[in-house]
Amino acid sequence: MNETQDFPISNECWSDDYFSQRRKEVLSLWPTGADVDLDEAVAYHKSMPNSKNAALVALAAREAKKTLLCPSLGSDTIASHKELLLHMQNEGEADILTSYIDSFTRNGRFAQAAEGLEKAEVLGRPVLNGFPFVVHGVKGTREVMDALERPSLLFGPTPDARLTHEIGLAGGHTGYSGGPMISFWNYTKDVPVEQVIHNFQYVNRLMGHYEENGVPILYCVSGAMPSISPPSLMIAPEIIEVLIAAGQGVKHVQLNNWLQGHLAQDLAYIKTFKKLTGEYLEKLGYPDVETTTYSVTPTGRFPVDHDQVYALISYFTMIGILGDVQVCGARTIDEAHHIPTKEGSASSFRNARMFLNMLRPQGVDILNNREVEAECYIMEKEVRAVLDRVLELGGGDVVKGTVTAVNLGILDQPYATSQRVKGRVLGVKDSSGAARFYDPGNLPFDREILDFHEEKIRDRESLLGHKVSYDTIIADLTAISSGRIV
Amino acid sequence: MDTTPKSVIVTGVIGEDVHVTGIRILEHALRSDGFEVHSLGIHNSQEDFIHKALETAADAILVSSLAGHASMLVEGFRDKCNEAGLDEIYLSIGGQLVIHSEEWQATEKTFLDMGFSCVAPPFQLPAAVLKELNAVLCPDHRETLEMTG
Repeated sequence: MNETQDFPISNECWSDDYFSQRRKEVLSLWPTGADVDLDEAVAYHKSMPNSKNAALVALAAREAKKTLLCPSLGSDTIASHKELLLHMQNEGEADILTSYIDSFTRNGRFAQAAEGLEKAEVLGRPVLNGFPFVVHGVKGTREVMDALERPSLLFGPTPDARLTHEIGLAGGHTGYSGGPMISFWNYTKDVPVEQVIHNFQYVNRLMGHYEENGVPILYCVSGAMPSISPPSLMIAPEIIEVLIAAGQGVKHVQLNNWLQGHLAQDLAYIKTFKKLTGEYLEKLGYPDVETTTYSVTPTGRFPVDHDQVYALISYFTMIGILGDVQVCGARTIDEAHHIPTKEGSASSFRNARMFLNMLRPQGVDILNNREVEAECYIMEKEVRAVLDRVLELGGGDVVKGTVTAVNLGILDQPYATSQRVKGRVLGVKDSSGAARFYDPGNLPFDREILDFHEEKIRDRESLLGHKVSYDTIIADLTAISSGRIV
Repeated sequence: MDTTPKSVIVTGVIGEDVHVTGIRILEHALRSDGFEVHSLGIHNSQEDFIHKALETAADAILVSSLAGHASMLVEGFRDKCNEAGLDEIYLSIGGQLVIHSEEWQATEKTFLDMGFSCVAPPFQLPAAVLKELNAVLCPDHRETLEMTG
């Protein structure tokens, strides 16, 4: 990736000229790029029924007060990917499907993806850990999409999803889950954040182009992967991803809520994220962006015992429903053992579906519960403190501010793979299992926020009878896989 | 408070391994305890560790590996250290070092025979690592900073 910065660092919408120059470069990265014709792709999308458009399906769920189910899966060959998605559609009753991008393609190693695909075709079993969009090209991708009755999203963070989106969207996908911040923290080692943002501005501009031509595209922001992370650590970068997307003309955003299992804190996450996204979109001049919500179980270690995993799938589905989300993801029973099978995934989703069918029609509303409100209060203060500082550092420009804030540790993450992240913040659970700041690093928090976390940690210490230490944090990271929240 | 670091440590994950949680916690714990930590993060070769150790005049190298391929990845590591003039460096490895199940003593012996100063078993907790490093690297350092949030 280009290390010398020769591109604008700004949240301004790209000009048509600038975008078409960049498109020429991107489409020439691999031969299949030449088959992308945007006018033809728009016409192809318009020939599909609305029931195959993820953005419209999510909006309809919001109006009807429904919760939809969405897995995250992908296979390598056209035949095996088609078989997997059809199985999830027909046997797993998934409402929105996904094409998980394989990791060679996610790292721009298209030749290795092509080699893996060839091997998979010879061996007759999957070799890659997802769908190699770029190798299959528009035609191959449409072969899968044409077989389905439901919408499908591209799935998976990556520092450079440009060509994958050219092909994936032209190939009939109507959305993507990922984003520049999560890709920067968790999927790079030494790529500058401004480079990842620039690559995503391309993806967002492409989505904006489809929107301007009457094709809604659903962009699901992801922010950061949690590891005992107080939710402001995810919400602040997620709202940054929303604002960057809005800057390039994205009109349908889905807010990804990473559930960690503490009921009040998870519900407060969903509520606070929705509220503040609306507020910052309005404040920065993007009032016409539609938002829907999505809840997902984080990627930490899961128990190996199927009985325990079924309980967790039900529990996390319940939190999504109580949070009134439009789309709910679920883990699978067999993923602690191996790459999930289609049977294991379908069984997990039928379990989630049964739970959903029992609870959803009841319309139980506990979002104004006292514990939820208390979590909202502190979370909202934290997110505002970070975002207002980011905007201040950027003189009102969220991209400029983000670049400076990452360097200062105003935006920070624990356990990032990137060496360009300060990595000073660290979370630990309190005595009820909620995530608190063990170390707030350089986050711009006031005394009230710091006192709140310190007091919660003192409660845990008096229960434990000793100081919270690094050993406690490690026990917390593996608590759920050992069978309890804390 | 004395801000001079107790000693200088280079940390990192070797090979095509992306598991980073363990080494990140350990880095945080070492810094809080007064060590100067130079983190290499993921995806490193033996040469990356050695270059960084020379550049920072490090006292120790801590290698993390969780993918089970460690014995192939660290073959000849001690010799390369010696060739680079790092004869005295404390060389430690930890994580999930083998893919097959064998007695810990056998695994430990394999890596000690390869010239490692210390081999940490799977699920080793930071407190134990700090104790070992304090004893070996800074026996004279009386003040241990209090580890609190």
